[in-house]
Amino acid sequence: MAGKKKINGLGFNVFAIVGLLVILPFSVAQLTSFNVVSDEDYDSLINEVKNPSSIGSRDNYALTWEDIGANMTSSYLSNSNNTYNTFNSNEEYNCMWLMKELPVDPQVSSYRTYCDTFGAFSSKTSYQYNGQLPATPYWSNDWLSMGKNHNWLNTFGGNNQYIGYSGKDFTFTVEENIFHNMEDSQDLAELQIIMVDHSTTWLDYSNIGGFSGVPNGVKNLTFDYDIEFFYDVPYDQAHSKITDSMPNSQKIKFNDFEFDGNNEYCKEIPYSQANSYFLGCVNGIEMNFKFTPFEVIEFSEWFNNNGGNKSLLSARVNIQNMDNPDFNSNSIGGMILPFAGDGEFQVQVNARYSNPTKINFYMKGGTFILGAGLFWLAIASTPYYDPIRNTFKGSI
Amino acid sequence: MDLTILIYLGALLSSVSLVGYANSAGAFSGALSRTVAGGAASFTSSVFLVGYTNLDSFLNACMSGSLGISGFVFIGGLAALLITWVSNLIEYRSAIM
Repeated sequence: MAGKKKINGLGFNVFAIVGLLVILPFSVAQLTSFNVVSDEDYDSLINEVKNPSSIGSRDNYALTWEDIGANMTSSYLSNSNNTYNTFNSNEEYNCMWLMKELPVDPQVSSYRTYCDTFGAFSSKTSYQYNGQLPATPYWSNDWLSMGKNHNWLNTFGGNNQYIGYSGKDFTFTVEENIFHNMEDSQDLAELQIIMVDHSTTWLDYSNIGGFSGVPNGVKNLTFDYDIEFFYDVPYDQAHSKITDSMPNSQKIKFNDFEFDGNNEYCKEIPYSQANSYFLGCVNGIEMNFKFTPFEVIEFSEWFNNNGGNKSLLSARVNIQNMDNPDFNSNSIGGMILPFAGDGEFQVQVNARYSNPTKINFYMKGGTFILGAGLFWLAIASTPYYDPIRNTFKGSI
Repeated sequence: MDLTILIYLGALLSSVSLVGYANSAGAFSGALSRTVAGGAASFTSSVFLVGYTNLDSFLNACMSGSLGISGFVFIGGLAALLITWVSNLIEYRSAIM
C-alpha cells in the first residue's frame, strides 16, 4: 500500500531491550511465585515427640528458650518482695534473662534455667456447649505444653513473682525431636509454629445462636522473625548448641518474615448437634514460614547434601522488634503474649511439603523455556537472522 | 561464582543501545549528554534488576544446579545473548543488529 510505513529492525531492537530489562525479570518473578506447596493439610511435627528420659538429655527436648526477652536480673533483684533476693546478687538468674547454658537442676542455684524445660504432651478437656461435645475435640492432645520464658519463677520454691514484662526480642530453638517427625522423602515447603495460652480461652457461640465471648486483651501486634536451620549441630558439655563455629555448609538461614496481626488465635470447633461450628479463641500467635520455591529447592539441596537425616535437623527462631502499633512507645506495653510470664503455654509445630511435580513442571520447565527464549534472542540479535523480516516477509 | 556481573552487563548494553537509538533519533547531541544519559540509564536499570527483582538469586540457583539442566540452559542463553551483543557492539558499533 502506498505510503504505508515499513517495519524496520528498530522494532526488534526495542523488543530485545525491553525483553531483557522488563520481560525477563517479570517472567522470573512469575516463575518463582508459583505455589509449589502440596495441597495436603499441615502435617503435625509433635505427634511423636519423645519425653526426655532424664533432665538434661537434650536430644529429646522439643523447643528451648535461648533469649527470653531481656536481661531481667536487675529488675528481679530490685524487687523487695521477691524471695530470690536471698541469693547472692552476682548469681546469674539465667531464666530471668538470657539462657547461656543448659543447667539441669532448677533446685541448684547455678543450674537455674528451668525455663528451658522440655515439652510434654498436654491433654486438655474438650469444651462443651449445652452439654454436647463438639464433633472434634479442640484442645485435644495435639498441643505440646511448654514452660513460659520465666517459668523458673513458678518452679523454684513455689514462688510466683513475675515482674510482668519480658522485653520484645526472643529466641528459641526447635530441636531434633520435632524435625524427626517430618515425612520421609518430602521437601519442607512451609513451617508453622503456633503458640497459645490455653488458660486465656474464650468461646464465641454466636455462630450457633449462643453468646459471644469476651476477647481477652486482644491488641494489634507486629514483629519480624527469621529461622536458621542447623544440620548435626554439636553440643558442649552443658548441652548448649555450638553454632558459631559450625561450617557454613551445615547451616542455612531464611530471613524477612513479618507478623502483622494481633495476639488472638481462634479456631473453628465443629459442633455436631447444629451441624455447624463455634469459635474457640485464646491469646496466641502463629508464625508461618512460607518458603519461596527457591528457598524450597535451596533447603532441599542443603539438607540432602548434608546427609538428609531429619533426626539431625534443628533450627533457631528469632523474634525481633515486637511492637504494638497502637502503643506509643515502640514496645508492646502490657500486651499478653502466650509465652511471656510463668506457668505453661502450648505449642504446635506443623509442616507442609512441596509438590515435586509442580516444582519440575513450573520451575524447571519455565526456566528451560526462558533459557530457550534467550538463545533465540541471541541468534535474532545477529545480522544473520532477522525475525521481524522473516515474519513479515513480503510486507517489508 | 557470582553471576551478578551478567545483570550489570545486560543493563549496560541495553542502556548503550537505548541511548544510541535516542541519539540517532536526534536526542543527546553532545558526547557529554550521551555519557550522562547512558550512565544514568545503566545505573538505574542495574539497581532495579539487582535490588528490586529476584533475578540475582534466580541466577545463583541456576548456577548451583538447583534447577537442574534447565538452569544451565537459562544461564547459557543469557550468556549467549550478552556475548552476541558485546560482539555486535565491537564489530558493528551497535549491540543489536
